[in-house]
Amino acid sequence: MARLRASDHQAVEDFFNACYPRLAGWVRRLVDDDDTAHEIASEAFTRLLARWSGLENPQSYVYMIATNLVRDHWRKSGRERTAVRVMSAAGGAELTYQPAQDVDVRALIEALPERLRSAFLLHYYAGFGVKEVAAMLGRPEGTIKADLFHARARLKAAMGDARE
Amino acid sequence: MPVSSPRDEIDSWLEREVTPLMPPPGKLDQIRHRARRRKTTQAMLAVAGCAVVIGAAASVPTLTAGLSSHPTSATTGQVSAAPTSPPASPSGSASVPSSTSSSAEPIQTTQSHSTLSATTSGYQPPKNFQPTSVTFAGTGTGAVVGAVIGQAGTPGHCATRFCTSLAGTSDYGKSWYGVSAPLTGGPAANDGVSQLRFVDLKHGWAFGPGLWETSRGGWPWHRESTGGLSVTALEGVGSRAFAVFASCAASGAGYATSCTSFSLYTSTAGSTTWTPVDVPAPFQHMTSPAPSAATLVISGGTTAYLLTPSGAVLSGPVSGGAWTVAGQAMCKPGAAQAGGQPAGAQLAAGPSLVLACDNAGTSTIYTSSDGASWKLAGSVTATGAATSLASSVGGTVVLSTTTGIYYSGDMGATWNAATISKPAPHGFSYVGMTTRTQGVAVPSEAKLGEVFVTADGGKTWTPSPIAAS
Repeated sequence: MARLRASDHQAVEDFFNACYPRLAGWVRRLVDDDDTAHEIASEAFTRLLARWSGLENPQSYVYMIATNLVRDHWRKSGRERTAVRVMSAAGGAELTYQPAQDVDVRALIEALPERLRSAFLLHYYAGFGVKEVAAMLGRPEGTIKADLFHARARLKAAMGDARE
Repeated sequence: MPVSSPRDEIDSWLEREVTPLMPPPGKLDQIRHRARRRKTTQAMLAVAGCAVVIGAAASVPTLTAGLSSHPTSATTGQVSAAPTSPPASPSGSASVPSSTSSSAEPIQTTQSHSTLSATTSGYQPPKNFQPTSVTFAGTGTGAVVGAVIGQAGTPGHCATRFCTSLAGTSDYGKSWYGVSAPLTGGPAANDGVSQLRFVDLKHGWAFGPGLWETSRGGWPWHRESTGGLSVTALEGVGSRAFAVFASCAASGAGYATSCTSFSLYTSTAGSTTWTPVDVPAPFQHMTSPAPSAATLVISGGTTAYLLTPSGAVLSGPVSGGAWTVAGQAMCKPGAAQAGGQPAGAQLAAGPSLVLACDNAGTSTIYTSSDGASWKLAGSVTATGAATSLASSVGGTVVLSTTTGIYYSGDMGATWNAATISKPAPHGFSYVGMTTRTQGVAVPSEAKLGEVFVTADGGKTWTPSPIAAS
């Protein structure tokens, strides 16, 4: 099995030191706790290392992986929330939920269609340009711009509905 | 009162800066380990797939296990340091924890290597060995094996580009053999190593300020991420290790002298993951307005103690679990010496805790069974500043200073100056007792190329040269 060359070894370490804190922080705003954020960021870096030598843009790759992992986490936690609700209803308990602002907006983003959500997170949240997001998602730039527009419109509408 | 529009709320949420989430120490090593493991699995699956086609043309690689010794040159065990790195201040550990079992990690075979042994590796330590730290560990048979770390050889002419070297002894310093060292230099910037701890023949750590781990007695060594922090103290027993990760302004050989922020982490033998110890909230990130230090000791193989920069003593079980505040020491540490041990307050653990509070050449000695209440035992007026304290069963307490060594046979009540059979300029930076009678001391001057040992409870100390003359 080929091992990373010494220069790659150092490059990985430099990339990790430069990118991990921000990636983990980015994930932290999308999930529930530090541990989950570290878990997702670590998994993204693990998958990155497995393909390190063949990648032109490791930053895009690791963010894409993290975005997918966050989506998986949301799906899983959504199921768990549903299960909690069912169990609570069965037990006659009433859930009290007072979301922080982060969680409030996050819940709305979580509800976006996946096509819009990925573009939205990568552009507005991870800071990638429209061109980069288009390359990462394999869609035309015009489509990405439209997706971003629709994502914002849906969020705005959803936020308004939530206040009424 | 203005009401924000939904658009404003989304914008403000998006525009908020992402707060970086720093990786815990060892995270990169953990990721690398996982990635390697997955690649190995994938490669094995691929090989299995190919085997269907190519039949028996390929064989499975052999994994070497056990405490083997396969050096190919007389300088094996020497793996060089940055040639310009000066030796760090010496220190060590002479506690004797019990032996544990081996790990199953594949060994690297790309370089000749030799490991810690209950007998000898059969190879000489490199010449010009300048020890900076010593450790002794039990073999599980009642015997002890020691190891020293330091810079050796001639910078620029070492076996690799690093001159960091290890040597082991199975006869308490009568003879030394070469052991493979981490592929790093002495302290430079926030990297390199100068200190050494083994909990048994296989599991050990080289640290200060960087951190390396071995699970096979000296080869291979794995570098562990410290998140940019300096490891200033590390102690272990059985399968558990604790370490102090500090934020220090200085780098290089004096890395430990300027640390102002400290956190306590733990790991298990064979693991590359360090996790924060569950300590009371005010001690999760201990800060000090002036450079300070934190001392770790382990008592009776069951309880670990931390003397914090504020003088508070924390304690916790070595089996894992939450720590609590045991009490307040009679003095608090000053800035650390170069090797990481604090000046001003020395803590040691034997049958009970012993504390030496150094004040203008007089060290006042206190004892405590649990760190909660302290009892005045005596005092020793020494020439030079106290540098290290050791205690063992039977009431032996030994104090090293910048000029010599003092010993007490009654738990610190009365003291005498020890006889040093050879001059040790600038005294000793570390002293430790392995048993009631056996002990080891590391000279402040690493260039002496030797450690000092005692076999009579600290009364007399004789040099033990590391490299063969």
